[in-house]
Amino acid sequence: MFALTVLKIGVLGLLTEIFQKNRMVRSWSWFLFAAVVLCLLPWLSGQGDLFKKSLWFFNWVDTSVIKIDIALRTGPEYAPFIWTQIIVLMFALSYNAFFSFEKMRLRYAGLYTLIFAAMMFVISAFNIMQLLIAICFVDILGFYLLQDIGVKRHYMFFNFFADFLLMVLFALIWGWERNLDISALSAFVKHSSFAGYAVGLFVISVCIKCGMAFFHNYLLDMKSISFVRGGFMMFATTPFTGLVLLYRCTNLFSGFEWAKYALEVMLGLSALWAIFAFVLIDAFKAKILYLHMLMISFLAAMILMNKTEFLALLPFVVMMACMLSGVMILPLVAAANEPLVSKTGGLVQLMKFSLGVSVLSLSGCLYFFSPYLKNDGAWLIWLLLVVLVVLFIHFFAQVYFGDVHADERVMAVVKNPNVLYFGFILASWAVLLFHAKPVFNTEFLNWGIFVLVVPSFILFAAKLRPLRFCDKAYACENVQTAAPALKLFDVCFILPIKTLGRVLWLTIDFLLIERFLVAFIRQTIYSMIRFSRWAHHNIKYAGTVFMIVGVVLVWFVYWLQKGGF
Amino acid sequence: MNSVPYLLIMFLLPLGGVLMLLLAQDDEKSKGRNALSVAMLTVWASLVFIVLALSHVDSTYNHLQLVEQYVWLENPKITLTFGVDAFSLLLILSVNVAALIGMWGVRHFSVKMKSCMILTLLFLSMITGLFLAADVMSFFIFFAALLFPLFLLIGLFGDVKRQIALFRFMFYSICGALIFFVVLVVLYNHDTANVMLNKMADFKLGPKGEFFVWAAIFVALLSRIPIWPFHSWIAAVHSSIKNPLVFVLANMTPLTGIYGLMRFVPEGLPDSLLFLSTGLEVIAVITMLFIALIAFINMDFQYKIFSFMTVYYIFFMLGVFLPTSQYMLNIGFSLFAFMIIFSSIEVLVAYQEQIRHDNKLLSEGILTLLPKLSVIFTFMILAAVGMPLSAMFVNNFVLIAALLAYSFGTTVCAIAALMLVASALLVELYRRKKMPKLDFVTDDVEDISSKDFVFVSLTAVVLLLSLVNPLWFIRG
Amino acid sequence: MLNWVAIFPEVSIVFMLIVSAFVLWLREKATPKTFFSLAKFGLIVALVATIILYNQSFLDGVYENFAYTTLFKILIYLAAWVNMGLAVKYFLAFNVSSFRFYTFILLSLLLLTMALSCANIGLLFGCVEVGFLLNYGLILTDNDDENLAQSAKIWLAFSLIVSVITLLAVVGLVYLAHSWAVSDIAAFITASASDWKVYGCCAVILISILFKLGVAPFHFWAPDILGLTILPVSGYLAIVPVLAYAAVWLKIAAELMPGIYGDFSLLLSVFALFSVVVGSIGANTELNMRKILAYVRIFVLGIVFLMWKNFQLETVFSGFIFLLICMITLLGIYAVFYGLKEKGVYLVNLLSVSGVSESKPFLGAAFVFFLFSLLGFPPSLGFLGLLSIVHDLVNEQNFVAVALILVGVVILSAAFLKVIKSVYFDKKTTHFDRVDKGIYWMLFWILAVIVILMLNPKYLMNDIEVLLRALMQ
Repeated sequence: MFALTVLKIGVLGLLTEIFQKNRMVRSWSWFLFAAVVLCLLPWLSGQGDLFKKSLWFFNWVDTSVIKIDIALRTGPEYAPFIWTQIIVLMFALSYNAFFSFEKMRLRYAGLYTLIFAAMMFVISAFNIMQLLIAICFVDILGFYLLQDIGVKRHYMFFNFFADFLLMVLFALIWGWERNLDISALSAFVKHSSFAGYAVGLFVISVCIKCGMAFFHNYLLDMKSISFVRGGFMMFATTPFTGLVLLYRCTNLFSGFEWAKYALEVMLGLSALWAIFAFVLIDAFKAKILYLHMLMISFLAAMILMNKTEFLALLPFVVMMACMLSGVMILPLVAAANEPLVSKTGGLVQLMKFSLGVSVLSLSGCLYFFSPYLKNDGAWLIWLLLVVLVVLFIHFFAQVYFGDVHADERVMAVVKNPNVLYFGFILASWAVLLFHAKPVFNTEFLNWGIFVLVVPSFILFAAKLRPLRFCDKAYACENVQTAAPALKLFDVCFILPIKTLGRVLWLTIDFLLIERFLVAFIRQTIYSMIRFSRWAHHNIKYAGTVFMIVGVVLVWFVYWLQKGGF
Repeated sequence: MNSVPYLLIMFLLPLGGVLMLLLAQDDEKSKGRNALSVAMLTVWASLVFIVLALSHVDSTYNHLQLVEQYVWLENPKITLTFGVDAFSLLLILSVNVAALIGMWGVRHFSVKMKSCMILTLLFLSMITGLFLAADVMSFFIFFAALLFPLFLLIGLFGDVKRQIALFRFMFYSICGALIFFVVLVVLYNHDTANVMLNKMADFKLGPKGEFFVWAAIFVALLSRIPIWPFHSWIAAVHSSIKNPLVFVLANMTPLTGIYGLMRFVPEGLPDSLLFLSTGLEVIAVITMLFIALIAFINMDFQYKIFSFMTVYYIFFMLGVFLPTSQYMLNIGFSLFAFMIIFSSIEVLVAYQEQIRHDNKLLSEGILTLLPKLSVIFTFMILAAVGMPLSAMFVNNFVLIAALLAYSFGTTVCAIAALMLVASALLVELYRRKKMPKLDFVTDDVEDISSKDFVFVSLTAVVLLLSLVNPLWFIRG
Repeated sequence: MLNWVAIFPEVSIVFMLIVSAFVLWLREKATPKTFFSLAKFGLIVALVATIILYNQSFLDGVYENFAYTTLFKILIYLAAWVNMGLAVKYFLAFNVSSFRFYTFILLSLLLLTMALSCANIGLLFGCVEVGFLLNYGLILTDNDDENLAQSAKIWLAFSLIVSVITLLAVVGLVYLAHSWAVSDIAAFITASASDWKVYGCCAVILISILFKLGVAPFHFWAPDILGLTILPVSGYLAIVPVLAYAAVWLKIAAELMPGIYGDFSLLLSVFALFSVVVGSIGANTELNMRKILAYVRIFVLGIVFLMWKNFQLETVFSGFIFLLICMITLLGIYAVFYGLKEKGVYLVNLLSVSGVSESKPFLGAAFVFFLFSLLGFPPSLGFLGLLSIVHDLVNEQNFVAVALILVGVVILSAAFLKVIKSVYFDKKTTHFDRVDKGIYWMLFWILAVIVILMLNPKYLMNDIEVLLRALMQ
């Protein structure tokens, strides 16, 4: 059943890619969305077998050296991840169908469905080979999804590097254990003398895949593509595959606590980076991407904590992220695609409904996550919620309140976006509320606080604009265009490699081989040729000399044979 | 002996093609199409026989099969012995497919097609003979014989600017062949040069003889591979060839060295010769890193492709240190996919160069003008850098695993080189795909034709099939 | 008792010479083909007669025929026949009289073949020396080049000196042995091998043959003479006398000096290695294609004498086969030269044949094929020859010689690659004349012989060995 569903969705995606339409594109996109919903209906309505254990597998390679099986499986441990993908797919397909700034919507829709199918293989992987191949496939499909070559560039390099490291890591493991099962990882770390290197490789790979601090630039580049694709890429491709990787391979950390600490430090750094960047960077889409970066860090931290109750929150966190990014895109759409936050301000006059929905959405998120604040390890959720509130207060303050910085042309067209933009937001909000556990005993208190008190507090805080001093950063070109991580890579890796290459080419190829070795051989041969020419140039003298040489040789040999010296 | 001499037919078919080419009419009007058609048909026919032979070969059986012997001289006894296993047939298949792709790529080039195809088929025949050879004498004959058509191909059609580099390359190859010749004579002198390749290790020589023979074999076979510090001579020639077919054929020569090492070097070298394997390891790693580093800084795409090939060839050569009977098929499959990938890339690059030259464009951003070509080219580059798009992926995984278990340090260096050279390819891909700074876009630029697109797509399909089911044409 | 039938081959040649003289005297217009036809007829008759009368001796102890003398004579006649067939194209092209050329050829053949059968030392060396000196007349055929005239004079001077010294050495041996018979002298030499006078005389005799062959350091005349003289003469001198004098050498080694030959082993090794070095390097110094081939000839002879330094069946055989293969290949190359003409002039300089493969692809391909065969590339015939050679040297543990030969091959390949570059890679600068169909036919037959021998080397390797055994016995 599960495998069949995945197959149907995959086929839908493939057919969409092959039979691209140029006319009625929007209609075809909606049609695809409907078809996907139909395929997923049993799960969406709660009747499917997502939480029941099921397995489909295929014996792919069976040789004397290696045996690889491919599987698709469901069960309680996979369900959160699968649900996450369903949510992201719904988000992407729905926005893709109507988002006016997306040009090749049908092509992207096809790719979304294909990537979903590929992600199912990532999530279902029970052996490292399937995990690796599925991750690579997701990367390749993600590569084609990024139409802009500037965006593709860093994506290509970072992911290639990470995939290669993963390949080496898994090859090391398999070479040692001769077992492809993920369960073999624990045996590997116990017995192998190279376990330390392997764990190091793993940490680097996860950091790259999840787009953590210093490795996040390839995700940041997505600010030049639509937020739909950007959001999809974050939660349905590479960074999410990093999360799955982290989840499936946590066995590697046993006995190597330093690796876990290193990862935690990176997560902390990433979160801090995301927070500061969200506050200081001017562009809407960049802020959305930093929000996603923050959420990914949070999700990774949740996975590291390895608590089942937190894992169940995975799809809701992602839904929250998508919903909030939908909230953040409303002013951009309303203001005729104005990319910079600093060029907005004072939009509350014309966008009260949008603001209302935004604030309620944030409040809804707080409502949903509040019951978990009492749990063991809840400090993380506390932290996330506080940060989200602070960041969104700052965002709302800049966009909706304060002075109007947009020009007259923009202000003339500002109005609440099309009702379709609210579809996903409201649907997500409803799902969150439906699945939320009550915080307080009475319904009145629950609704009162999260519908009235919390939104009021947010609005009040936004009006106050506590972080207004950060606006100065918008005017600083260096802050806006800085890419310190890339500079670091250039200085630490690219430049030394290029320098080494040039030095080696000059010294070895040019000086040693060409100028010395080859020149020496050439000179020797030319000398012999010159001598030969000189010796034979005049037949009279040559004849005399050679005849004498011959006679002398005869005598000399005779003398040697007769006793010589 | 089998009733149908598949191996002899495989060897003679290209020679038959040469005869047909000599009779084929080719003039200004036909522009070489007749010659090209005859040559391509010959290669197709060879492919059919190769696949037929594959169906008769048991891939689980390690020894040579379908053995055929032809006496050349009775006294002293010199025979030509052919024998194959799945590995050698895979190499023959890959070489023929690569040549076919190269022929496809050259059909719009203004060259003397008849001569080019004659020399190509001659070369194919010799290299097929090399892979079919089952004893040392037969191996040597083809090892040396393929230099003659290769030299003429490169000199006539390669468009190599520095001819002195070509001569140096030939000397170097001739020296290697002569060193092998001495080995042959030593064996001949000792007993017979008709020692089967897989029995070389059993051949009893004194300690000095053993050292000399094995050292000579190593040197002779390494002379075909661009090994440091002699890499620059081969690099200077191979990387400067503009004709895609000649580039593909010329860059097949390292394969002969690798194949020889795979066949000659026994599993578990005797202790007295361990230093040879250590030396080979060191040189291999140095070469890989060296060439990869230079590829990274070099702006010439031909050099990058050459470096990519060289680094991968040496990577496969490191497989010599593994229990070859276990991993030979993995290496064979990887090489099969590898040959198709690199020949496709070369043909596509040559096409781009032609477009660039005809329309006076820069190479930067050229793929933005050729969307269909861009899709296939990207696919091939991604397959080349190691993405799971071909048999190279799984088989390279197996090889890396085995090499890591064998020698961690060496393999890490090799992997670093593989990553560097792949990065070099990706950098070039990016450069060709990014929008050019100046707006010199022209509407007159013709993308790859539908027929060409279908052909190249078929190679992509073959590569994907090789990933999906690597054993789809092998029995056992 | 005199067996007059046995000298029928020689008589037929003499007869043809006389007829040629008459034709020249009587006929007003003697076309070039006339003398060719006469010479050819005489040659064919001599060849057939030699085969039929293979073991017939004119006078025992004076003039004898054996299986190996027949073999050598057949090879010499065949080589001469091909050369003569090619040469007539030259004379037809220039429309000059070929009387002088064919007369000297026939005279030379007569004397050389007679030398093979002589069992009298005086007759033997008389034929050898006169036969060599006659080449002076051949060299100056149809040529008014000052340089050639000068070189020919110097060549003649040296040849005369060598001939005189050789004849003195022969007389010396006769005086010491008190007999003109080769067998008696051989017995004497065997008995007195330690005597310096005997050693000296034998050394002179051997050096004289080496001089005639052009083995280093007595090679100095070969590049100039072969390079400057007209194509037919160059072709003839490059091939036929080599076969003849090689046969004479084997005869001397087997019949005259079996007892002392071993003492010259070291000396021959030195000369042979010297030839290998001089030949391989010298080939790289020239642009004149015939001079290049002259050096190749020296190289080949060097290898041959490395094998013949010891007179054993295996080494003699492999040396002989190698020599034969190289001579056949040289014959093929000279046939190619006959096709390389511009405005009626035969091309000599390498630069003038640039890009010949463009307009004459068959000639170009044949040329390159022969060159690769000379290098010993498999699966050409040259490979079998080189294999034989190197195998025997390895057998003797003579690794220095092996190394030197292989280095020589590499150096020689540089010269050949230069030629191939000119033929194939360089742009055409000359408008080549149309090639006579006869040249193509000749090339075709030479290639056919080579290909047949390549595919079935039994004829070369096994059948000839049987005939050579007689020599050793």
